[in-house]
Amino acid sequence: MRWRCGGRFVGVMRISTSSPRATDLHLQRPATVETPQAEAVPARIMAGSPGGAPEEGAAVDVAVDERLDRMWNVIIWNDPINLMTYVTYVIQRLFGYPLEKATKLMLEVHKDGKSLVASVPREKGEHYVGRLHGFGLQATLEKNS
Amino acid sequence: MYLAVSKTDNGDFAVVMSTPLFHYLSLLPDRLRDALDSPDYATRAMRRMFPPGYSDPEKESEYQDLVKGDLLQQRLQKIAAFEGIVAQGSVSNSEGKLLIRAAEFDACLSFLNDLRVLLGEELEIEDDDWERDIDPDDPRADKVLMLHLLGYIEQGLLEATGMVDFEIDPEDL
Repeated sequence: MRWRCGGRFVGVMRISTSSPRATDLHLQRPATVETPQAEAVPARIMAGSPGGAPEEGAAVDVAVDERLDRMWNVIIWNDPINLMTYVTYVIQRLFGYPLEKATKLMLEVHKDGKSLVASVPREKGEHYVGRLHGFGLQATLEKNS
Repeated sequence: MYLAVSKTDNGDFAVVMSTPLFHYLSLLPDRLRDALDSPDYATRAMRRMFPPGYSDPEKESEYQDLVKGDLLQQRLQKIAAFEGIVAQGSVSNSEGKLLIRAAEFDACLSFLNDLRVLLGEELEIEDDDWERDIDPDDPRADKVLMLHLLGYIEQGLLEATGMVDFEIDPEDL
């Protein structure tokens, strides 16, 4: 059903598909996963000095990998009941994303069935998933692979 | 039946609606409270309202132990918050008025959505192609109407926030 408020088209009352299945929760790490603004990773990677020892760069790579290994992906799943606008609003409220990005993530949920909305430490991820559940969205936490 | 929502200068939300809609809103808290009273978590509706957080069974068990009770309490608190908002509203023969404080807005919105989720599960809605236009004599008609009405109210509140894009083109979906 399409909704109109004040005579304007306001979206479509559906945001679809099935509940997450235990066997369908494993995601590959996308190349452009972002952390929420409040969870921004500090700029720990320092540019090596000209002619600097390669070991330093290698150490940085290891540190980054270890950090990524500790990250967990917060995934929102599609469902046929929540309004698209509601999902967009909740993403903004919880993650502090601007409207454009929240809308993009919501559309990803709608089209692809799920969207990785944040990559954060586990404790923070559990907090987000709990909050998303509190808002009536289906969400899970998956270890970054 | 009509509903108009506007955001005030201090961030609260003023809601004006038709009298029947105001009275209808006053009936909603008990509808959800009854469903959450001694919930059977094995039912479809409760599984949806308290969904899994992990695919790993061990982590999922720990997660549910950690959050399920809190989540239930949060839902009951949101019901109480909505009830309080309606109780402080005013109604006449011509219209009803509510004031939703900014701090209560998410609880109010989330309460309405919880009820939509409950109804959607009771109607066993599985996908986008669910039957939106239903025969009035169908035994599911009341629930479908309620689902639409709650969606209308929810949409009105969301529009007033200015935080959602109402111009999404269905062709882009």
